[in-house]
Amino acid sequence: MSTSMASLSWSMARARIGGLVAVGCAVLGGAAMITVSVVLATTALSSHVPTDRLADADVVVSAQQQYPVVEDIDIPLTERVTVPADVIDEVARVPGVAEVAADLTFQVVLADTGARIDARSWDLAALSDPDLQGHAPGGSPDLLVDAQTAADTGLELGDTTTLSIFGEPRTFRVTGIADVPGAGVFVDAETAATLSGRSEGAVDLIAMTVAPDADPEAVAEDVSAALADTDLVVSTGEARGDAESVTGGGARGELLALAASLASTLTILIGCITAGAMSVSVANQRRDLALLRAVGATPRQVRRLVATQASIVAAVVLMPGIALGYLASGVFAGRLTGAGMLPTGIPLALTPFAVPIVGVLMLAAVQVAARSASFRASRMPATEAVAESRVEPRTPSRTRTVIGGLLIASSVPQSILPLLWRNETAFVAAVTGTLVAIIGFALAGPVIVRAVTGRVVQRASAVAGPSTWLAVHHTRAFSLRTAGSVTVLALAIGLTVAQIASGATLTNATAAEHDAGLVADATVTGSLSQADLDDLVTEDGVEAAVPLVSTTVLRTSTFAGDVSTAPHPALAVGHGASDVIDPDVVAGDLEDLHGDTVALSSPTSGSWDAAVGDTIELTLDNGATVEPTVVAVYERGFGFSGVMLSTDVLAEHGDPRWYDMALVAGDPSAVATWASSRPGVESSAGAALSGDDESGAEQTINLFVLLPMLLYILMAVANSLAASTGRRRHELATLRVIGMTRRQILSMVRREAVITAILAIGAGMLVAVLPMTLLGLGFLGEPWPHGPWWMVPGIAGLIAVMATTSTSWAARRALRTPPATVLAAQD
Amino acid sequence: MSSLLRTRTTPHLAASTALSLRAVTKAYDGSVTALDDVSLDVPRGAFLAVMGPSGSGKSTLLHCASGLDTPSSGAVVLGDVELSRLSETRRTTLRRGRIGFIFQAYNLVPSLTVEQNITLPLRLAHARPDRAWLEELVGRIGLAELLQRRPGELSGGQQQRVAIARSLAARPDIVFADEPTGALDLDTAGEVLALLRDLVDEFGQTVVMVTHDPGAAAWAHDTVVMKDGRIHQRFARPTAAELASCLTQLRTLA
Repeated sequence: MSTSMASLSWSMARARIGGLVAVGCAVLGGAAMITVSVVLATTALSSHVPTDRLADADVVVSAQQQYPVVEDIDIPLTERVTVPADVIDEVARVPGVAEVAADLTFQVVLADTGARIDARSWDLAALSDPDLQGHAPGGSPDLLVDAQTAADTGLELGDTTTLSIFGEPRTFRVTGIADVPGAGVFVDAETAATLSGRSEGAVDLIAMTVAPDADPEAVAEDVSAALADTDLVVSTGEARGDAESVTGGGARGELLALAASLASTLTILIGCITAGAMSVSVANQRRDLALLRAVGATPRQVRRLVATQASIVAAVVLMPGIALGYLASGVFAGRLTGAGMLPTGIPLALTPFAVPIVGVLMLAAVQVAARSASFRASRMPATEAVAESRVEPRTPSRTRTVIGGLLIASSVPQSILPLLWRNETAFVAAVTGTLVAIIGFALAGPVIVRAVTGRVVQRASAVAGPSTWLAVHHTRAFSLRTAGSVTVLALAIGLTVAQIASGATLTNATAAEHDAGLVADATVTGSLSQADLDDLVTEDGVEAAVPLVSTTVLRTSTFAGDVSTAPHPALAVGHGASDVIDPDVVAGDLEDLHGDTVALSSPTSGSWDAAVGDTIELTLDNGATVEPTVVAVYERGFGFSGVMLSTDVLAEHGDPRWYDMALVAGDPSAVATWASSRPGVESSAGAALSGDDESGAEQTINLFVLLPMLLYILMAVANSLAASTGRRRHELATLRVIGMTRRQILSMVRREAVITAILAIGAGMLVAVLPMTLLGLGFLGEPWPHGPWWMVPGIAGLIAVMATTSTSWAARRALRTPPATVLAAQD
Repeated sequence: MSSLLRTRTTPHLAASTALSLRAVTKAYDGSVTALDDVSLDVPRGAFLAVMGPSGSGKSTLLHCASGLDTPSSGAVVLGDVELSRLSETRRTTLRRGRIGFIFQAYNLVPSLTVEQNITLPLRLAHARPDRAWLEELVGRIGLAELLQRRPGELSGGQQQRVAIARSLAARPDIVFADEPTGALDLDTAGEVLALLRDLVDEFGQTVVMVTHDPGAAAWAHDTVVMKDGRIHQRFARPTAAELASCLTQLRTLA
């Protein structure tokens, strides 16, 4: 039997192609989506940002730009981790190293225009011996300008120009212009070290060329050996690109995290959809399978037959699916680049690697789904199998219903959590509660559908026309079939509403806290140094000018013996914060937020077990470890982050920096007058926090991930609905013979689809709209799901239209064959 | 030959004629001729069996006579209506009011109870069920105890009884039965046929039954035997043995 299994599967499958089309679509879409996440993951793991300024360096030494996390993806650090100066001498001594150049970049502002540009040490560029007009910078006030910047600013050889070095004006003379990669101005290494304010001469990275007869790889190994007692990274070849770009390496970490989270969501989703499609296909073939059992096939053989059949279909669509995935990853990567999650210029790893991974995953999914879908059909006694093949309605198992009920019940406390706690934990609980409830509904669905339609049946018997009456009866009697479609549709609704509404709630909560907590009179933006702000405060009528910086801190915690490190968004604020923001302090005093101090939101304070006066250990975004003292605890953790550092902490453990914005307390017109005298600095009355763009980009990405999944679900349900309607041609023929007109049948089928859609919309609303309403109530005091107004009606309408069109289409097709033919062909 | 069957059509149907086929021909794809110039009258209150070997055209005859299919040429007249000229929808509405069907596979709607199945044609026609008639029918057929069951809970014989009750619920002019006992064992088949015959005799119901079983056909008043799309021979009140030998003869001829 086993040799002919494939051909037997195929001939049986051809006769019941409808159900298998659904399986094919499920596999096709699944393969495409997994391919996208594999491409993203391989890109993250293997692709490198192209080298630009390091193109002529053979070996590069840089610091570890990731915070190592045990048993998880390392956390990327978004600010440059520096290399100690003494390493320069150490690597210079390694045999085979020809030239060594330390790279150092900092930012200066052109006093004339207020434009912020990169200033670099000339040494690295000098390695490639570029053509230049004039000469290389020899020492202050020599300045070399790259050709691009010269064109942008109009600087020419011999011109003098004033640069603001973190607020301190300094005059330079342009002594050279060169066409070198990496726009900016160049000074000699010593001047760069002084001006950057870098402590103890630390540099960004060290680049080396090797002697003409030396092998760069061998030299790199010797350099590694020389640096064995440090955690510095030695790179050659393509990997140099990651050392060059801080964000490149970091974005790759983010990309990997995105791919990982996509993969886990997709596994559940594709598993569900494939299993659903498979069970439709098995139901379509139930009679054939029963007959096989009757002629002596063992249950195992029946399962293998179903699995083989599905595998053939999967194999057919696998390659097109993967090809589609490759195409889609290009589009998706474009989106990610647009949102700043993927560095421009990083090549996508379109490796054939995806083929075996996707192939194995999808075939395994199909095998498991097929075998479990056919489990019941394959184990029935042969005689009963033939009998049951005619009588479809069956009772769902009790255990299934009970487990489903328990899951639904367990989701209730999760959705109530936002009413009790206003923090991320409650937020996440509400969202996962939705998913738990949907899974519960998938299990308890048949009984719920039966109960709901039972009531409708009683009413419908009295008033409804025959089409509606029959439609309600069918829905009820085939509650297992109905519940299958209802569940998947409810999943689509629930997922979409939860995703959009939770995002919108968070955005709105943040905005509401900003409204309440930003008490500044004016906002200044542009390139601002601490010296500039100190100057602003000396103006008449200005009381405080407080810089704000968004950053990230890492916190390592131990829970039940497991050490875990997680990044937390943080806000760094300058002195006098209490004059410009009101984060609703409940303990301590914001006035004390200077020096080595931190303030925490109350949920953060609670989960870190840190009260006012305690000292906590944090890692900054440049890898530095700090131990600030908690001076205040506040309530508005959405608007002002969970962690609020004093900018002193950043200054103490990092380079001098330019601020992008500051909040000002005092007379807005005085601020405006001050700003107008400074090129590139703007002021506005009132307080506004930037950073909303970032969450907008994140929501776009979420939507961009959600949309294909939603389409995938809808397509799968449309297929299943069409297939299970097609399966009813015999029943429809009977109804026609006993006197039901085409119109009555179409209207009956349409009404069934409408009932299915209404049940799905109801269930989806319950599992998503209720938790999201509570979330809105808890976080914003507004008891409705947040998000665009068209969200709920839009998705409900989409589901209804999709359900009715796919069923009507299949019913029309089924009606095309004369009923006599259908009934004659039945046995 | 019986007076029930006439080879020539009459210009005006006698009031006692339930169904009349006039020179009906049915050809598929222009080549296969399933029915070849068949004319046949079925008087009211008659129980007519149609027999013949496979492919003799007996199923096609039933489909054309009942309006499930339309003839290529010729006319099918049910009472005073010429079926073959009506649209699909008109034929459907006519079917549910005036024609009953009984199939080999029962073809009950599994999601409905026995009672709902029986009244389904009435419901589809938006007709008010005649309670007294239904009660009498259900009692006569022996379904009174089973009304709230679903088809899946019934034996084959019981399901076929439900199908018979359904076919009669609207008091149709004529009932077509297609191998009604094909799926039943001998004893149950006998009971079902006896019931059909009784209903014909008691209620004056007209029934046309297609069967390949001489034993089943013998329960009818008259039998026509078909061969190659034509009516080969007609029997008035034949015995099963007569019919069997006729069929055997046909087989040896072929």
